[in-house]
Amino acid sequence: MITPLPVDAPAVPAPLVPGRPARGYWKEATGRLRRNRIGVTSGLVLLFFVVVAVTSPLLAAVFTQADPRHIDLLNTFLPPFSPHHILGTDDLGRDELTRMLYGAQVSMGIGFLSVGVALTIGAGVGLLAGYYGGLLDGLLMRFVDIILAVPAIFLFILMSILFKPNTITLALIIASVGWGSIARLVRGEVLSVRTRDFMIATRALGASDARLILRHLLPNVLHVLIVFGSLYLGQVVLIEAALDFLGLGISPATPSWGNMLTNSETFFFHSSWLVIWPGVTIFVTVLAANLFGNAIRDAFDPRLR
Amino acid sequence: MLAKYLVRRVLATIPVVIGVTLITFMLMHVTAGSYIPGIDLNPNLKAEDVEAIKRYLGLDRPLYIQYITWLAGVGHGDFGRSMIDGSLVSSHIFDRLPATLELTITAILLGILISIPLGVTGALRRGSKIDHALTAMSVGGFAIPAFWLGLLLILVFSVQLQAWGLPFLPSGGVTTPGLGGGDLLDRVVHLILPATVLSFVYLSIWSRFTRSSMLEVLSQDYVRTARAKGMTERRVVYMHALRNAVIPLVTLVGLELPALVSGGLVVEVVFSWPGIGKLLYERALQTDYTTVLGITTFAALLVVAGNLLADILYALLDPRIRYA
Repeated sequence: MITPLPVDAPAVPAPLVPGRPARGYWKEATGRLRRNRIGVTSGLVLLFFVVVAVTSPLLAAVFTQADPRHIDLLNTFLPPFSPHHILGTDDLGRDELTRMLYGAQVSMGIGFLSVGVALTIGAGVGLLAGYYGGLLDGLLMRFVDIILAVPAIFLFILMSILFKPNTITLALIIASVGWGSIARLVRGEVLSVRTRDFMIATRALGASDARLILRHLLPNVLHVLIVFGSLYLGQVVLIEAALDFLGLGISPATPSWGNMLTNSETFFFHSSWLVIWPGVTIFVTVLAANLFGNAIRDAFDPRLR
Repeated sequence: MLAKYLVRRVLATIPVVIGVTLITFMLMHVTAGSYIPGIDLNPNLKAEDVEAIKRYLGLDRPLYIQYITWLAGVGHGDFGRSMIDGSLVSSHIFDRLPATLELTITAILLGILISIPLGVTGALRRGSKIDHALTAMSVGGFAIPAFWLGLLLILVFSVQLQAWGLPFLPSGGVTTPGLGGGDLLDRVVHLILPATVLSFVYLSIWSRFTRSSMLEVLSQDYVRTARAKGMTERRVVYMHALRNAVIPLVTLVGLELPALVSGGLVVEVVFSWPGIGKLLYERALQTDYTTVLGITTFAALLVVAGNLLADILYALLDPRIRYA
């Protein structure tokens, strides 16, 4: 089914017929990814937003010379391309571009943190449940059933009013639901890898459980994690934006693309750009994340195409 | 065999029900340890008054007793009373349920009715301009924030059309308030924008799915046989291929059934649609914990019941299902 990593593969005798040069799974996959033009482009777009998020104070200092929280009531609703305000100002006279730059911190920070946490927990639970089976498997998987039975958006809202989240807690709240599906996927993959010959052979050599799980199972389910993680990123950005829009995400004092759209319907007739900029940015980010995820899936798991 | 499977399947839901209620109850409990946040800090209440209120609400009893009492209530359809107005949470739920179902069912039906022809078109003209356009649309539709799409549609079809003096669509509510509202046409007109937004995501996923499923079926032997027999292409596509291509779609649509109650929350908020999602959202902002808890539990129990029902139906309809 899945090409095992070279570590586990038996020494392949040199092919008698000259064919393609033998290359490892990872080289094959990254090669496929590099040849995918849409994949590379969307990856670069995503990278652009990451760079903006990391350097937003610097960018703001260089390009806009404005503070995202600086209120200027004499200059509210300035249209785009006004002097000193390239993207205009909002209802409190704050510079749109500066707020957009800082908003990238929230979306990207929460996006990657959430994906990271969900993947770690999901992989851990999936590996343990799949490897040990039996009672532990039953307990862990019933717990996943329970988490996934509660409508996710209700859980997000419930936890948001309970914990009044900041950037980090909001990422944890989103991840606290997302890990369930990952655990299920990983467990399924582990079940099929567990019985393969190389696993039995390694166990016969006296490898410990920990070594079997971390050195032999994990590399073989890594492609599931990479594929799911990259597709999940776009979902997290969407969820986060929706929660911020509803006023249940991070505090409105911190600019985010989602909370910049809160109440926008009250003034979008005369200042439609305030609705356009954050919305288009969220859209482009999620689009790039999804397309990149698709490219990753095609590269790492061509059977799923 | 079948009966044994059914019994086991029903029994297996019990731990899930307990787990779901336990999680929502415990989340609720960590809020403040009492249903009334800050009651201990209120300077206008004497200590014995606070005690009396807590005793009246049963909060002086051990946690597990509180949970069992609450669970027994839920078993009877009693989800407690709202902390804001003291009315029954269950009556709130049933007031709001019809509006929510009206919206989500319409959106799902729209999604099915539009996505199948789109998917078939894409599959039949694979690689054509139409196919590429449909692909782009579905990739875009999957990435667009629903609340933002809603805002844009309101901007164009409600605000802008009205500004130009053209007939426009209402931007919110189920019916026009006051006299003259509430007939079927009025309801349909109000439904157009929110249902469009909500069906957009379904459309993006399902049309892609129909396309790939259709491509797979069209390459199978029996389709070639049908063509070789001289059957018209139309008959091959619609009578033979499509029937088998939509079977996986049925499963996919079934997966959306849990979203019947919760799926439209954001859209309900944007379009002031008086459904369950909007109720939960409003009560969450007012920190009406009991109502939020009640709705969440109700929705979760519906999901559990829906999954159970689906499994039982599968077992009854498809004898190939393994009773493992």
